[in-house]
Amino acid sequence: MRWKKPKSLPEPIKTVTPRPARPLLPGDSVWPEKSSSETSEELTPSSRFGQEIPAKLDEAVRRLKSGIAASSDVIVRELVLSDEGPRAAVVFVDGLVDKKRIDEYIIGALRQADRYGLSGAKPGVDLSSVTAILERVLSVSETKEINQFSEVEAGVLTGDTVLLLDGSSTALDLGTKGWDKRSVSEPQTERTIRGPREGFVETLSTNVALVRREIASPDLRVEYIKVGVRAKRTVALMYMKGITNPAIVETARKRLAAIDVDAILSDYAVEYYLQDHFLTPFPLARSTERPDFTAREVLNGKLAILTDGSPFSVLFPTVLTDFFRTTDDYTGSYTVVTLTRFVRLLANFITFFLAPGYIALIDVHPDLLPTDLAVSIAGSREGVPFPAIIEVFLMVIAFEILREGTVRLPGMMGQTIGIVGGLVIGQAAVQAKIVSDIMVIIIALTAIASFTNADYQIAATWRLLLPFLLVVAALFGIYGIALFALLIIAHITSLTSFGVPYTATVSPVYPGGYLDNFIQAPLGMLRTRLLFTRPLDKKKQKPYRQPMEHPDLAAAQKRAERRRGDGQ
Amino acid sequence: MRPRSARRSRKRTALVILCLVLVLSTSGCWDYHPVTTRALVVGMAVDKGETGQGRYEVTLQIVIPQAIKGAAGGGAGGAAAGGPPFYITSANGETFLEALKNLQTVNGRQIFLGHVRVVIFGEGLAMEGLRPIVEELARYAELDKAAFSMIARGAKGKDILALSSPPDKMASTSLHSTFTVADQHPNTVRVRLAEFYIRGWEPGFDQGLPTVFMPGTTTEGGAAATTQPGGGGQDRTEPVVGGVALLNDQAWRLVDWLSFEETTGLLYLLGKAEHDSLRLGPSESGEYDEVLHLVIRRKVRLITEGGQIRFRIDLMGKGRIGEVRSTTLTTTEGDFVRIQNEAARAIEAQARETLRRLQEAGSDVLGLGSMVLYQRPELWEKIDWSSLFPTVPVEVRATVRLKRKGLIS
Repeated sequence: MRWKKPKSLPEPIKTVTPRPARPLLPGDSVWPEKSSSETSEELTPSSRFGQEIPAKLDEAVRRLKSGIAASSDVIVRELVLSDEGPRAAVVFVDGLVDKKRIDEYIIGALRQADRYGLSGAKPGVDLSSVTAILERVLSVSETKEINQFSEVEAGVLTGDTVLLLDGSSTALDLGTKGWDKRSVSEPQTERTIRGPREGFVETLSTNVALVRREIASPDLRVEYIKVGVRAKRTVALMYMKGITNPAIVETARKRLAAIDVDAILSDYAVEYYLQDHFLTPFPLARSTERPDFTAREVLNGKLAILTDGSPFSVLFPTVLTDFFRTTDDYTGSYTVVTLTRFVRLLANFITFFLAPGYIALIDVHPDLLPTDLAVSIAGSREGVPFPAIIEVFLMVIAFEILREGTVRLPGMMGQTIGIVGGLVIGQAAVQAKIVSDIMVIIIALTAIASFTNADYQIAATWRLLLPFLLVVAALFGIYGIALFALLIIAHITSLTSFGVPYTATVSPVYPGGYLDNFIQAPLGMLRTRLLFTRPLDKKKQKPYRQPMEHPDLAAAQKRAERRRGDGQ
Repeated sequence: MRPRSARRSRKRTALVILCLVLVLSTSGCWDYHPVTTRALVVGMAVDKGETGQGRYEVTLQIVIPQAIKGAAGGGAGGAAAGGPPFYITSANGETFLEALKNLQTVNGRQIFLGHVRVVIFGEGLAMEGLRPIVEELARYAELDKAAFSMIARGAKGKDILALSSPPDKMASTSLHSTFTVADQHPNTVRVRLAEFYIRGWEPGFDQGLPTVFMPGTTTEGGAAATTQPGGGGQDRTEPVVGGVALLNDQAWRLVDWLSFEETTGLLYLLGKAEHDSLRLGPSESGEYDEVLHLVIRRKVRLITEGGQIRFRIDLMGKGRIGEVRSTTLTTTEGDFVRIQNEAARAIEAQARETLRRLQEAGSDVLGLGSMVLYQRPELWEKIDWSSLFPTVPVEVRATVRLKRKGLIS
């Protein structure tokens, strides 16, 4: 339907937001600059100011106090460096900084320099020079000279300490980040049996370091990009120079730069703005809590995106078969892994097709059931007042409520849910003849099967589509299931992730692609990276030949004994 | 430019709608028949109707699911527990559909024939010819054509369906399992409804259907032994399957029965004797010397000489010695040759006897006529097979080869 414009209304005024002509750079303000006359103090984001730092300290402090320092947690500590020397101010946010370091290595160091300078016991330092202070006084490793006022704010708000010096329009951004953070612990959502027990935390620098510990290579590149307009959030791109396709990195940079929102508060927001399609229920990026899996995928040619404040990395490009791979797949024999991959695929299949298949068989095609099974099902459904389709919906809804409830439930009440859910929904419902016992089995199997993937997103997609499939199955039977599956396949084939077809490794086929999707070949045969990422360097290993025969231990022992015998 | 693309998009929309209509109208909620709203029929019998009440009497054996579940689960069965897990319902009708309609009026649930395991025809109906009813059954889409068809000898099909055997089994499921547990039933042939229909129409082929007896009405094949006191479960109420009913003629009319012995001969001739147990020795005294376990295959050849048709059937038995009673048997090659020859003679004799019965009845169960049709179609045009079959010369030769003669286990 087309919306018709009523003629009586005036033409809407076209407002064109002026965009900078040059490509956006980190730190650029993307809000249209307005003339000061119409600027309202409350409505404009504080970071809009693009001015230089005033050389006069009083002016700078005044402006800070009307800006970020208006908040009570921002502390501006003014100092007098020496009698004749300039005054200075230290600005930081309480709680984001390690105060001990500020006291000892910034304020303390300045005081000491001042003392020596006054007494003349040592050649004094010219405390009016930023460079001199930086080079000779401060005992801080992470430093940066800044001269934009917005940089002062950004630095302070991310936990740095800014040192302003009277008479200088250059300030010092000193790395004093030190807030309370969670220690590295085992990932809650992706446990492994033999893999490392480390998971990402909420601090970006820690997370980047965790990945770098996995890949100690000069080719591992980390790019920090600040995203957000009102509140800036650091996002890190991690990729391998010489492996990762530069187009992937370039796309990520451009898409990140174009994000024009107040604040990025989750890694999913990054994933959302970076993906190729916005309306699909299918996840177009694999997210993982594991540094080792992130490292593996980065080495395979993917781009990892880490967001400050989030314990997940997002991997681009991602194809459908990536969701069936986990860390554990690379910590065991290929035989077992292939088996578990099959189990996982089967579980995905069960999640999506078991309940609809059951509905289709008993409601539309009872002639396809074996006679004994048909009789047994009819017997168990005898006395149940609802048709099977209503019954299955009751159970699916009950399960979803139970699942959602369990996620929100405080840990110590987990037992309660187990008892209430198991007893009420399982046993009592069957005894009260509200649902049949076979239906309980079906839904229980569906529920358990949906948790076999390392990334819960894909199972969530199946669960989302399940009700539609159930209705179709009840109305059209197996034919309807086939039609719906076709529809989904048609949709999946239309998806891309960073330009890579979502069905890649199955169609289009890449050499070696089949060795690590539904099955897994022995590690020695996985010679290529994930070729759908179009890496610059395709091979990741050469054929491995064992340099020596199986050692003859008995002979070696005998030789050693003989030698010892000779010596004695 | 614009009108063209608009037209194209309209065309596209129309195409999509057309596709959707075509694809989605092939099925829909009118196919929604939950299993609980249906009466699951597992066995069906068609008998000759009582005079004046219609041509057919159709009997259905319908499962009571609660009873089966109650029996299996114990306790939850409720009122139905104790009784048989099925009920029998009959109705008359001039046609099969009419009878079914009459059955539907006395049944609360929709009758569902998708799970029919066996179709039993009454002897009376078979005497009149089965073609009209099989024709109707074959065209009834819902009916499972994989159901086994058989003829009740000396009884109505209805009576057989009413049997309830001790291990809580229904006659139809137990009949079904006698045909499915092994590839080949030892005492009879196996005919599915679809085969019955298709074979029936094939020229030069007559049908032989398995025979089913009421318990205690036959003493053949050891069936009676189990009903005698002391022979184990004397209250055995399972139907007995064995022997073959011979049909001939365009109306597929029942013309004769083959006894269990003769059926063995038929299985030889069909090459379907799988685990035949052949007794050798002086047959007069009832004693025997050896028992052979044989698998028998056949080869049929059509020989036409100067317009004369004759057949040669070669039976090839392969097997081992099952039991030795004779004290004179040695392990010399000569003894084995003697046994092999004796066995071949016995097989030939039985096969010839059966063939004689077939020719007498004029029922070409072996499909010899169809060989003429397919191999010499020009000859088929000239002959009248149904009059020729009773006199056509058929030579039967058998050979037996024993393997693993020394093996005892």
